[in-house]
Amino acid sequence: MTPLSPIKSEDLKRFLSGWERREAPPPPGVYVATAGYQGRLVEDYCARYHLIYLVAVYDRDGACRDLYQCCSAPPPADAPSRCFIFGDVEWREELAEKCRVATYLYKFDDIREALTKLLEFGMHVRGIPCTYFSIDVLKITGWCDVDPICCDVSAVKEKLVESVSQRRTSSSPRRGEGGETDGASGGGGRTAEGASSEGGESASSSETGGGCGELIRRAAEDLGDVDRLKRCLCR
Amino acid sequence: MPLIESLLGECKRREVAEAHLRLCALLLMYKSLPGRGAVYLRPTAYRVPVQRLLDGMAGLTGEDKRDLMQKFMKAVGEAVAELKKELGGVASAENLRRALLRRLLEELRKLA
Repeated sequence: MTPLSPIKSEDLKRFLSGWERREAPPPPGVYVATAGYQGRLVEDYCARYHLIYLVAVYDRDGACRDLYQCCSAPPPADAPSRCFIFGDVEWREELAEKCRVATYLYKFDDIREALTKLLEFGMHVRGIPCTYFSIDVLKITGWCDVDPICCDVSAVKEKLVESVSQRRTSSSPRRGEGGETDGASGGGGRTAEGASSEGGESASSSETGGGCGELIRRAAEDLGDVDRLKRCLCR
Repeated sequence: MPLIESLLGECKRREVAEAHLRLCALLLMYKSLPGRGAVYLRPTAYRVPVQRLLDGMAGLTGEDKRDLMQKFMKAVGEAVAELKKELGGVASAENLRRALLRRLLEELRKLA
């Protein structure tokens, strides 16, 4: 079984300097993402390491005295919750018996800054791909602009289609033009791949005239039986 | 995941699959991940998913299928070898998901 890698303590110290540490389960709040450990793996992990939770407490008006308690208070009007959590696994009661827990809390007066901090921790310290975070979190933090692929792959889809059509257009005239270029790139068209693709283009080549004739001439040099080939390709 | 699904849909086109074998192989591997538990890393585990993808491709002759299958399995084999180096022979589904996603994002960034 591959061991789940714990966070390096120096990374943790560097990233969380100034955060309040508590040896307690995370308070109520909204999870922005989890590292995603499951079932028995969590127990194996717990036997050796603390489960780590980061809690960003959104406190715009500065009303929170005890950050932990503040998470149980009603959320402000402009946010779905007062506390946003990134953790190794979403907390559940049965973990309390098996796991040691460290919860780090920090107060933010800007929700964007709070979420960005959690996102950076997840991606840079914990090594979670951006796609583990919800689109909403990625949008609010501006991460969709930094790395658009995390939010939308339509640009990639366009590129896929574009690159394929470019390949098609750049390869089809070469086949019709003459022996040198085609022979150099395709190895004489003797492979299954070559045969099938050339077969697929034979209709358009016959329409243009010279393309098919040239193809037949070249194939005849290799195969000999011109008429049979012609019947197959140039009807 | 909709991002993965929509890209995998493109891979059902023969031209796309042929031109972007590694990307399509990674997408297929990601799609075939179990939700939880441990996963043995071996290329043959992806044979059936590849076959299904090829079955859904229009206009392939038997010869084309065999040829494309070979190419796909080569790409899968390379990806599995990389993942084995990183994770070992058996990985948790979650670790494998993460490692695959990282590779997928790398491939996508190259394109975008």
